[in-house]
Amino acid sequence: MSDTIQLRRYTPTQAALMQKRPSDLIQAVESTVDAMSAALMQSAAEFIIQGTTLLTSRLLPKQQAKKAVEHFDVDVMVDVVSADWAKWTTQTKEAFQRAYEAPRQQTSAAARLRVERLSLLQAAFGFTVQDLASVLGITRPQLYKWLDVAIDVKLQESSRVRMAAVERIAKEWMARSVAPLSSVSKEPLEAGGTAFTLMSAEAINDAAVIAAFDELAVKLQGQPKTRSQRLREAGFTRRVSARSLPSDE
Amino acid sequence: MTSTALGTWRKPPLAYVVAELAISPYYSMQSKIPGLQDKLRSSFPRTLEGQEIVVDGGKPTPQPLWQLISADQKLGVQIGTRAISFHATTYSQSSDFLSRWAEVLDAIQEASLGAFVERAALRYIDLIVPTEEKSPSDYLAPGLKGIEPEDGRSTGSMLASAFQFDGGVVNLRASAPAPQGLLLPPDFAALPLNKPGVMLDAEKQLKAEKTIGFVDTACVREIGKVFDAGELLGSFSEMQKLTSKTFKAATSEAAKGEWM
Repeated sequence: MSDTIQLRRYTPTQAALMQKRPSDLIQAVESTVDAMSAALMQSAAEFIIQGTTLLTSRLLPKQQAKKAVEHFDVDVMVDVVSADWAKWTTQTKEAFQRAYEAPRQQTSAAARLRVERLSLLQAAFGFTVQDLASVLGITRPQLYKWLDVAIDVKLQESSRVRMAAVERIAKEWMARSVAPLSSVSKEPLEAGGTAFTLMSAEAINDAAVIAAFDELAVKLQGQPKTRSQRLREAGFTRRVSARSLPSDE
Repeated sequence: MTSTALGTWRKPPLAYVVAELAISPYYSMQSKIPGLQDKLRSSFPRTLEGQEIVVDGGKPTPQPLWQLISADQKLGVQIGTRAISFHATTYSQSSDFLSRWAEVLDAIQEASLGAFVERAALRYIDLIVPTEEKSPSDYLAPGLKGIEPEDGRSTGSMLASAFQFDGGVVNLRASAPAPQGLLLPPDFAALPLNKPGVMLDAEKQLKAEKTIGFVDTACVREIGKVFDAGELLGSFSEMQKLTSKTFKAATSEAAKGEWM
């Protein structure tokens, strides 16, 4: 066994085959089979009979095996095999066709924008789903629905107002720190409470939240640098991953 | 009638916002209105019918117009044979405005109008209501202030500029002071929506024979494609950034200190 990953190599024919849809492949095989169907079915039927004969002769006493084999007829077997083959190919082709042609669900522009807005909030805050739901004034299942771009959610006016208010304070946080708020959101404040309790209050007091952010931003600056921060300052950069988003870089 | 402050600034001057799509003449729009009305009824339950005079070549012809208004009369959609627009006198965040406009765009997409969109435009009207001892021109950037002849006093001025960006053209009109009695830009067709607080303040100033001003920032982008809600929304997001950039460049530091 080699230590390195072996590259797969395909011939042009193999590559072309792999790019075809399964139903196309079945159609191609069928058209080939049709050309030689008679001979193929005959040989398939004979193979089955021979196999069965051999099996029955091994398993059954001689007289019974002889009687069992006599019931087999090549023509009948050919019909059975070709019918089964036709049934299987038809069903399989139809299934692949249905799956391929099934209309892909169109997502609405409003749904995509909603999910984008929520993603920006998550990028700023780094909250858990439960915490973000509390800040938005909704339940966790409701937030999961909001996060599903396939679901067309009609936001209530109160939800729109709340989301706009949360976006406003997200901008205030991003203007003060690049670190997600979640790392310090539940730290006790000098005036009492935490930033999280202020943000998840029924009515968001912008001034109090901004004052809390100022305090927390100072606290964050005073914290010892993490390993990744020190490495970044020393000039090391992250290796770009194929799965990372441009915003991650 | 409740008045609202538009935008997230402390004392925002924003009075009116319009997002508009100029479409190729759509003669069968009347047959599409029932479907659109049904889709938008939950957000815009009130419907007003009207007419617009279209001058296309020779003789001016009246064309039907439909205005769908929200229950609180702060939002409206106007549908005509040549344009579809979304008007607002309530505006908390650009993302909130765009999400409401996205719902209108989705409704149009679902109605399968298949309209050909010639141009898209996003227009912001900001009103300058000076505080004590300030004049409207104090709120404009120095480059927009105009001249002051000796012993002369400006009673009305209008400056118009166009700025080409990669994503479109931004037309800026600044009038400070606005000619006496002029509350909104002269060629501006507003819907019958509730007036925001800044507009009510501006009207009070005019009644007291004091001067006000306005800044009209409009970004226009050529589209030239069949209607696609997703693509159009992306265009409007970019246009919003350009109008915001232009508006901030047009206002003085004193204005920003007072408004933001």
